[in-house]
Amino acid sequence: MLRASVFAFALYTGATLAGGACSETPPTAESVRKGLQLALKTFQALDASGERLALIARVGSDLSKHNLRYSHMAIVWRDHPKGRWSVVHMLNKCGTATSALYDEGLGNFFNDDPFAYDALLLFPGPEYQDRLIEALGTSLPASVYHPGYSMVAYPWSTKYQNSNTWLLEMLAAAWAPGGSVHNRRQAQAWLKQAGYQPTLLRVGALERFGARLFRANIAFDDHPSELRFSGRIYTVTVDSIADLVRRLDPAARTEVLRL
Amino acid sequence: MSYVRLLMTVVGLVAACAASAQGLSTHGSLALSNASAASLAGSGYIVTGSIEIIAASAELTVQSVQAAGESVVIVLRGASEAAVVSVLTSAQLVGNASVAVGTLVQVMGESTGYALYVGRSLIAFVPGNVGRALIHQSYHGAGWK
Repeated sequence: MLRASVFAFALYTGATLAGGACSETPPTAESVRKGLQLALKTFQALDASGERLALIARVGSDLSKHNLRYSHMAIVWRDHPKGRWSVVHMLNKCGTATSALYDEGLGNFFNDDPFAYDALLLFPGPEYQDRLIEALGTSLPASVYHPGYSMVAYPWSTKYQNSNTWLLEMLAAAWAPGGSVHNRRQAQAWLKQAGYQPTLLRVGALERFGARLFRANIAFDDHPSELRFSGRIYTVTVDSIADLVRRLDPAARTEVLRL
Repeated sequence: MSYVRLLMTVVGLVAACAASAQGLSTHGSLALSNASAASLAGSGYIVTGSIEIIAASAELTVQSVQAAGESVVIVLRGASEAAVVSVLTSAQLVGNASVAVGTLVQVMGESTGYALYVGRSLIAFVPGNVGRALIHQSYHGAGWK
């Protein structure tokens, strides 16, 4: 636990230097309790599934304005070297413009100040699971990772990346035939030909201006001008990733968990 | 409190700040891929003593309350005078429940840990063995065998 604390200390220090907007309110007892309850429920559901790997999503914020429920997606792997059913994902560092790839327990995954205690599990077919597991043990997760973070990264640019973009490009690296994807450009090219469709958001000028001014982790300058200035923001969402997975593998199965 | 223990407390508090960092940074209509590097150290973190003291008790007595910024360290005594455990939790929760020296704290065992109540107020949740097994964080690939 102390190691985890020291680790978090390092993250906090980095965030402060970068001018991130960080709350100083500790998590409440109730949020820790609920997060762990959902983590255990998810762990048990994953164990009961008989599967080896799933994509997992949480409700980090209220996205109902955009007709979206889940905000963030990750990979959860049964035989993860750091512990059964551990998560692999990209995390933004405390509101800054940078990120890193992490291995985490499900308890951590559901204790990031969620808006609701719901979880989505998406199980691709066995072949897709196997290829993703194999890729996790290679350099591919790092090859398709970029530390420049924007919460609304444009999916067809390599200037920024967010958590869902990394996951999507990781799927491309793992699933493209013949190991043909080794970097972000190749991943995006494969995603285009695979028919991936990002989600269109309508974001007003005032909201764009406010976000850019007050948040270190939101940028719009990777979006094409004609889209950006007309308030049409295309980005990678959980829904759009799930759509791609189902298109590639119609047998993919979903399960929703709620406290 | 020894220097080492004080340092642990401070580190825990700072961890609490990092843990909740994303609260501000993602609650908005643009928070599409919210994810922060979080730690659970801010609530229910045992600063000193053993969780066994909590696990073995239906009721604990508050021996002291030490303010530490947005958090407090509550020192709890079990049935035995020698059995003491200190837990970091939210100052607001403890304040709302009017926790003071001599206050009785009820322990409710749950599947993932121990809920500490004063009256009907939950003042801390201490992860047990099952809960702690679900909590870890490291850079991807670090220490893989």
